[in-house]
Amino acid sequence: MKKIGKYLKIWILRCKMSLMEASEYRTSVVFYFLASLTWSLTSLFLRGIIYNIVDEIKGWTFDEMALLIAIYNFSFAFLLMLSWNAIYHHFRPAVREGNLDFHLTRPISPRFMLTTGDLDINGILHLIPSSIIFFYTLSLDTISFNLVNIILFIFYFFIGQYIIYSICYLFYSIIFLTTSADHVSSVFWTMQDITKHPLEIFPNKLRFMLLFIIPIGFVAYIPTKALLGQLSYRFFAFTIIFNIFLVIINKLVWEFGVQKYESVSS
Amino acid sequence: MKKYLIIFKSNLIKFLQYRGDFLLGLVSLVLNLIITIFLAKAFYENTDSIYGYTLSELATYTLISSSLRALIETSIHWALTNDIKSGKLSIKLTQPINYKLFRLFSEFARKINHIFFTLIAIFFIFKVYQYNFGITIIKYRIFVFVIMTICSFFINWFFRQTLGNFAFWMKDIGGLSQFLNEVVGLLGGSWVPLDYLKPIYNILKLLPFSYILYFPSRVLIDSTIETATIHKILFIQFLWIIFFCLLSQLLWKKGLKKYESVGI
Repeated sequence: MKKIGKYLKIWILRCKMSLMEASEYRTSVVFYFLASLTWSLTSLFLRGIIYNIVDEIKGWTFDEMALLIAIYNFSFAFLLMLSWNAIYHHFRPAVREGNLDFHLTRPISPRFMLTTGDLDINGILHLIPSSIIFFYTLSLDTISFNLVNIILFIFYFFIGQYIIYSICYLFYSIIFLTTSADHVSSVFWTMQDITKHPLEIFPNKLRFMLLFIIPIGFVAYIPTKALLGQLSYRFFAFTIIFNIFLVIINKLVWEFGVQKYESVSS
Repeated sequence: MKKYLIIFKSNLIKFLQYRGDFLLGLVSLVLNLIITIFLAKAFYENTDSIYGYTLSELATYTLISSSLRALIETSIHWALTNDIKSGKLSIKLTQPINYKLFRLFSEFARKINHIFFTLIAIFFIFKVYQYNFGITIIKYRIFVFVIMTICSFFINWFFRQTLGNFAFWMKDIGGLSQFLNEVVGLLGGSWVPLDYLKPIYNILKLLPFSYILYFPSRVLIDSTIETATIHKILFIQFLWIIFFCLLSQLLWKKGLKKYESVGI
């Protein structure tokens, strides 16, 4: 318990420092917010254009689609806030530039220090447009759900967050083997982008892959389905088993990576 | 000129070292286009035409505009910002080279290195799209399209350079860059053809962004576009290149006066 408190304290301190750093560039923060707002509302607007012509896409009405976009935006905001910044700006350069040694010698988990924390101001700003879309969809009569659905939604949402963190971390772990992982970002964000679409648009085999092999579907699609009350309970057991498996994989990949690490800048 | 050729050659070697990394970037282009196939098919499940575009036409537009975007993308604004922020610009300014030409030739080296793999990826996706949607392009306009692509590259290059110059005043242009990416994406026809935005189509035609992706892509698809219109598009592209080139130069000169050469 004491250890958890220590890590929490460090995490809060690092978040504070990130915010202080971001406040140095106030003009940029305004533009980040505008970008965030434009991006979120545009994705809803573009879907709206299509729904002017069609009533539903693969069984999804516009209101349901708006809910999916809202949840996708929330997951995106949390990813930025909790892990992306640290993985991209600390973990990746530490391995590439040979600075991992400094973290390995400290009396704190290097993986914790390099892959979590560092609150990205973008993420906090992104919560605003995400909330606008979310509360807009909640105000619609066509969207309704009960308490069980809400609990399941919260459960799946945070499970989805751990999954996207793991995918991000595992993607960037390639840096242990290669000299550069800059373009991993574009593949990762393309993968992450998939989750804003209903998985019904994909053929069955691909849908299975996106749920059970690279479970990116858990990021926004599954939480949305849970909130709409359209999710089978069998997912619950699978999700728990899969997450235990992910925890082990993440640990093994780290250990393997540290063994491979040569401590030379490239 | 010889020194810029040396810069070109050394950068070519440098980028060749990271080709594996670049190939990963191509994977995202391919993945994006595959996702678009499924998305477009879902959109057209209950209708034959959306805003005048059949499934095949939309697929063709998406393929061409995405490929064009991959070919003309540049990160000059980030390079410029990093040099200004870190103070490294001072070193480059004292060297007997023109900084802008140094960056341009480095970019050429990067492009030459990437273009081969990009074209292979585009060819592969073209075949997949042809199989799925029966897409067709106007073959005799390929040469005009290549010229338009070069013009698009230079509009984008000078536009991004203009953006990078803001680092003299803002230090961090990340927010501005991200915001402009969203605006250019929407108003330039990167996400959907501009015909989808009919009420503001005539306004969008006046902006430079539609001449980067939308019009060059349309030229290769739309047989109703006349030769005179193609000439007009090329002329307007040329005017936008001059506009952004001058604007960038102006900001560069003003920025250098403000530049303090202190790395942050």
